[in-house]
Amino acid sequence: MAPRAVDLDAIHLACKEAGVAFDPEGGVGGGPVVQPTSETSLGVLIAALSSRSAKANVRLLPVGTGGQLSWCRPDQCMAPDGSLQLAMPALLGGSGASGVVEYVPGDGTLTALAGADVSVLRATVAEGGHRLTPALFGAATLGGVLAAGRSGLDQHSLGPTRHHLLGMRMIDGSGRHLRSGGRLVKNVTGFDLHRLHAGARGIFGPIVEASMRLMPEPEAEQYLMSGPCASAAEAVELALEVRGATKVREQALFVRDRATHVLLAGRSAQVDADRRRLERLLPGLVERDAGPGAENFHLAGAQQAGVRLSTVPSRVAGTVKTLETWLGDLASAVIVPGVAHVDLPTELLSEASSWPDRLDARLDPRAPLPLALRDPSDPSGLPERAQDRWRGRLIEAFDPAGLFQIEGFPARG
Amino acid sequence: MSSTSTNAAHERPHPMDRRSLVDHARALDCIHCGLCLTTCPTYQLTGSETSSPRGRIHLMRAVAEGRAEPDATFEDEMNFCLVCRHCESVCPAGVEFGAMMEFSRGALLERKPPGLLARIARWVGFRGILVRRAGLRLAAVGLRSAQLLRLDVLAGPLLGLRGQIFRHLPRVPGARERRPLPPITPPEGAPRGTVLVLDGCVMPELFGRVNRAMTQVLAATGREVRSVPKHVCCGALHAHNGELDQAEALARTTIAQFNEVDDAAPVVIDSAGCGAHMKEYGRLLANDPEWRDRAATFSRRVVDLTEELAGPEGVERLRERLGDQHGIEGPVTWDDPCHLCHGQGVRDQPRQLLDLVPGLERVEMSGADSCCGSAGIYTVLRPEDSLDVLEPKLESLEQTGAATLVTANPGCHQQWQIGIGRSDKKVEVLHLAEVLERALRPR
Amino acid sequence: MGSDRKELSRRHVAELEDIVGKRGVRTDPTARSAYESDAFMLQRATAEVIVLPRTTAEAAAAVKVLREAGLVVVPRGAGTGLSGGARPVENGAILGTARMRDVLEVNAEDRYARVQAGVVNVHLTAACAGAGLFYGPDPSSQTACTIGGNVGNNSGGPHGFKYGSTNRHVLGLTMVDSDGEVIELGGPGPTADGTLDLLGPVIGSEGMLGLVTEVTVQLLPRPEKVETLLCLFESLDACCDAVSEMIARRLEPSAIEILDRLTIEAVEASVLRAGYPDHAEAVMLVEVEGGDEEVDATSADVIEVARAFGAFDTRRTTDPAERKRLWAGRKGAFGAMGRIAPDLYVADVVAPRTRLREIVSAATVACRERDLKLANVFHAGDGNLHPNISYDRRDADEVRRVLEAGRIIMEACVRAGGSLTGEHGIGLEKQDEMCLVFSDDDLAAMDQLRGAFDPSAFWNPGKMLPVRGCREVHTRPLPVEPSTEPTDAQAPGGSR
Repeated sequence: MAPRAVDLDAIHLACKEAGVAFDPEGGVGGGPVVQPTSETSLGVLIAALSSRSAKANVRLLPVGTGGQLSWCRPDQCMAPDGSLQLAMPALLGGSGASGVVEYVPGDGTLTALAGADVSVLRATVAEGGHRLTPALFGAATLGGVLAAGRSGLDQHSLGPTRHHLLGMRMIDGSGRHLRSGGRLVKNVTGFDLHRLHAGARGIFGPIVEASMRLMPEPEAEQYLMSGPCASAAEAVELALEVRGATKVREQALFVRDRATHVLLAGRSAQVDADRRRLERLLPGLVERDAGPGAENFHLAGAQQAGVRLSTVPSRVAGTVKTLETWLGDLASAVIVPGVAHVDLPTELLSEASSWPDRLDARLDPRAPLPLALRDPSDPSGLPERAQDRWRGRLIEAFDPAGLFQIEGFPARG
Repeated sequence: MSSTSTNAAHERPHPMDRRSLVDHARALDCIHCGLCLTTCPTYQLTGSETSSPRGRIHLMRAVAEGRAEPDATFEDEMNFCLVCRHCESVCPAGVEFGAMMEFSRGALLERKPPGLLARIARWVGFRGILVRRAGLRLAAVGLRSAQLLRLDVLAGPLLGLRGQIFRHLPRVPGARERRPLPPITPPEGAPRGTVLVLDGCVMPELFGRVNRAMTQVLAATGREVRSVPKHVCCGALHAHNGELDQAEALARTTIAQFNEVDDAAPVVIDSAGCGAHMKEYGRLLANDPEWRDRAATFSRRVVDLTEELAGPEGVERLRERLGDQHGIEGPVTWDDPCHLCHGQGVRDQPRQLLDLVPGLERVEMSGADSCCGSAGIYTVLRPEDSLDVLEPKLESLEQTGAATLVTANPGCHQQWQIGIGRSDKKVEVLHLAEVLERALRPR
Repeated sequence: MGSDRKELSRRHVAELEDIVGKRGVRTDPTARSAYESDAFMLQRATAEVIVLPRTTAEAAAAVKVLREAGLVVVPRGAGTGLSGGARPVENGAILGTARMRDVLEVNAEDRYARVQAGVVNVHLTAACAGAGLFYGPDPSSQTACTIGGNVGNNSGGPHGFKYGSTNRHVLGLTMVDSDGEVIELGGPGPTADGTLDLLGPVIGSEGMLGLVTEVTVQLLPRPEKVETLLCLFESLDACCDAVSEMIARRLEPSAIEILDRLTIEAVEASVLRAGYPDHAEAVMLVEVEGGDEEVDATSADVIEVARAFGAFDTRRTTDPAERKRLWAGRKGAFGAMGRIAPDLYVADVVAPRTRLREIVSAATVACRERDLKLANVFHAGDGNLHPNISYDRRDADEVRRVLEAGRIIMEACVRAGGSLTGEHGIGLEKQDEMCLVFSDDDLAAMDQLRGAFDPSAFWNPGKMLPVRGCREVHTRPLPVEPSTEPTDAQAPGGSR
């Protein structure tokens, strides 16, 4: 993608108008960044840039911790050129601020600013006996997690993150302050604009605040691991057996190092009983230290830099078998059979230079392929369909100046 | 707030004012929730809400409130309904749909009498044949002669679908089987008192063996069984088709004739349609001060055969008498007659009785409580719709793999025979009384 | 709106009949009048034509004809909706899915089913029972309502407490847009990375973004054990407080329902007689499901809390027939109210679960002051209340008082941080009240969302979003007030 020349003067002018601090090299990776400290000023800034954007030639990139700066395939990862970073944590109002707007333990809901650090939020709700979904550990902000559409391993039993999202406040590409949903666990008032923002990578403007449904802290928790199997595929078969055993209510499940990792959580008596059932199912079962909030379990199965393949549960074992015959040892891959993800770390793919094409050909053509495997800049072959027109018109409606658009997103189809 | 009575539903009379086209007060019970939709055979058939219980009540209410005309569509929707009353079984608001439909049909008839031919046909049917034993006999003899001469084969091409139905009508049995029940059948074993039974109009002519089986089984449980030889028709078909005056007259006659034989004994019915209607005599005559109380008392004496037999004493006696030499091979399945399960709320008893028979394997049929399309004379009035309604039931029957289908209503019995005959399936249709009688061991 | 009524020509009718068959088109006024409202009866309108396709292809072809005829379209399932979402509009056709009722696929291994939109909710669950699976959302009208309608309203149900509403269960949709083009969104696999999630906004869009013709839903494994608990209270307030405590103690039953005395009486007088005791002021119906051990532990905790809050009797059962009876009573409660008056206003408001009692009191007072009969039945675990007000629509003044009380209840909820609807949708009923919750900008954004999917306002126009600007209706959204402890004991709810 060709580097873009940014009209710094136009940015300076807009920042001055909005009263927002601008730092030409203080952003992630030394890029230019704006640091708004109030929502009002952010709205004014966006409105100003929006009216000048053609001239300024600027792309605004809402940034949390910067962990998802680039939305690209592993062989192309780099920070996009010509983008002006928008530091969302600046809205928290200085260091030490948690970003928690409202946590009602009696209601099991949390409302927080988008720039809030999820580990801080997790600690806050833990005090009231709650857990935040997704169970993602490591640096991330709430807004970043939501915009990226990331889910944790707890998706296995609790569903993806967006199912726990209750409502949002956001600013659109014209600088309008908008609200959708609410802070209630059940609510069907109006269109779910917030669901559109979840996973939209910020192309409709920054998420400012979000409300989440919380899950109760389980009474007991056990992290169990099977003995090592001969192959990853074999471990996957075992894991699928655990998933199929309706008597065992595992909370999460993944395969790594050719072993099946299981997290049991819930009432103590149930966890103990399920563990006894697992002992019959999984040879060489050992208990590992789950850590606070089952952190150890979630970190062991965390997504790494690389490629994610998605399919349906019944095809996971076949996919893994194919990958093993081609790539050899898959020990370092994380396989989540219930959600039907296979995460391949970059190292595994480094030798296979033409991996996308070869992978395409080897996998079952009916399995939905991750879009990362398609060249996003080349939409040829895909006819424009109604849903593409819908996406186009949504972008026109909420970001008429194209201030928040990213190359290659959203993909067609 | 207008108050509508919630108690003594069956005692609530039809409105006195016959000029009103619909039973408006009953239409107000409906709050349009739509929970009835999926139970309705005509909604299942068409997907049209107009052809659903809620839709029909809406039409009645709209007509009553002057917002719609009782036009051809209105009349057609009223006649399209099978009055299976499945909707009543699920209606949380307790709408008395069957009663509303009877009244609406009655009012439609009064307002706009059918054409001359139809009027003659109705007169012959409702006043000439059904209510007179001689008329019924003549009709039966005529049909039997036609069947013996294979004239029914000719009827097909001549009459179209209606003719096809003639072809599959049950064989009219010989005179021996059509003879009336004996006035008294003595009990077997220790006597348990007297019951009255209904010979019925069509039953003795087409299903005389069923009446005899009922009598045998009742006697086997220690009942003295008395028939009412003078009696002919309970008036159920009249009421369902809007001939309310005639229905009321027949109700009075029925009560008087039964009471003449015995004015306290239970009245046992083996035809679900008749039983459901006779249980509602109290409501039918509620506007008649002279008969009101007598009718209500009589209604309380009416029981279905299965209710009578499934009582603790009945079950105990049957257990002693039932054996496995019934000759019924293969699985059997029970099909609920609408006027038994929805009209009378009788669901468990027939199943319980079948399960009492040694060596009988009973399988459950999905949708056993949905209508087979018989619905009294509906088969004749709307043959195409009637068979369309039966179609999914035939599929369900196929899925059960049953070799025998058991029911307890002459209309359903005949409808199944027609449907099974048309599809060349090999499934025998039996009345529950016949199954029990075949399983009776000699004492 | 203008009065230039669009006539459907003979040619168009003939074309429609060619597409869906004669039985699938109803044009005569009497037949059409049966569609003049859904289960929300306060507003009625007549459709120009009723069209009932059997397949996606038929629906798409019918859309092209209707569009050419200059009509707009109101999608409709079984018409059991409670907010007028499926009511016809001016120059509008009804495109109903009542004949699209095939279960197309049940995949036990990947735990999903693909169904036509007109499949009735319980029929889906019946279709996957053999595989040991079930479909989560169970609206009270589930014996009649369709999956397509559930998608349109993002329907919930008692078990939404554990399983969530429809949007947590839909994996994919097949839709027809206003050009008659067929669109597939999502599918059985996980949402692909790298594209927008359009399912989110479509679910719950009240038929305003297109016609949903097929739905792929996730199925859940049937729990090992299910126990239903019945706790009886002498006061509705105590019952509400017990629920708040259960939420605060983070107990995880699958459903927590409350019925007040008037509701109990109506249910017990109906065919759905559930055996609820008639001497209780309030009944709490709780379901606990999961593994044996989990159910035992949670049931014990639920009973402990109930007793601590004054439950004078508790019963528990795992017998399927008994459980079915208890639930049939709850699910038929709305219909059973028909015994009390000819018409029923079913409110559907949500409040934070810490403030149930406050809202119940507000509803009780609002109805008592207006001499209205109020019965409460609600999904307490979700904070979703259904104050049911019975009335007679022939009494114009009573209708006015009912709507007034309804609005007061909504306002009380919004002030407490709640919302207008938990599962019934906005439809026609609560359009103006949208201004209590959202600003003009929010509503303009929602209208833009609608316009992106349906630029010509072809689908269900004039619903959900306020027709008038909020400035005409109301100045600005209501402020949210913090909780205050009730100072004295309120009279027990359920005015008689």
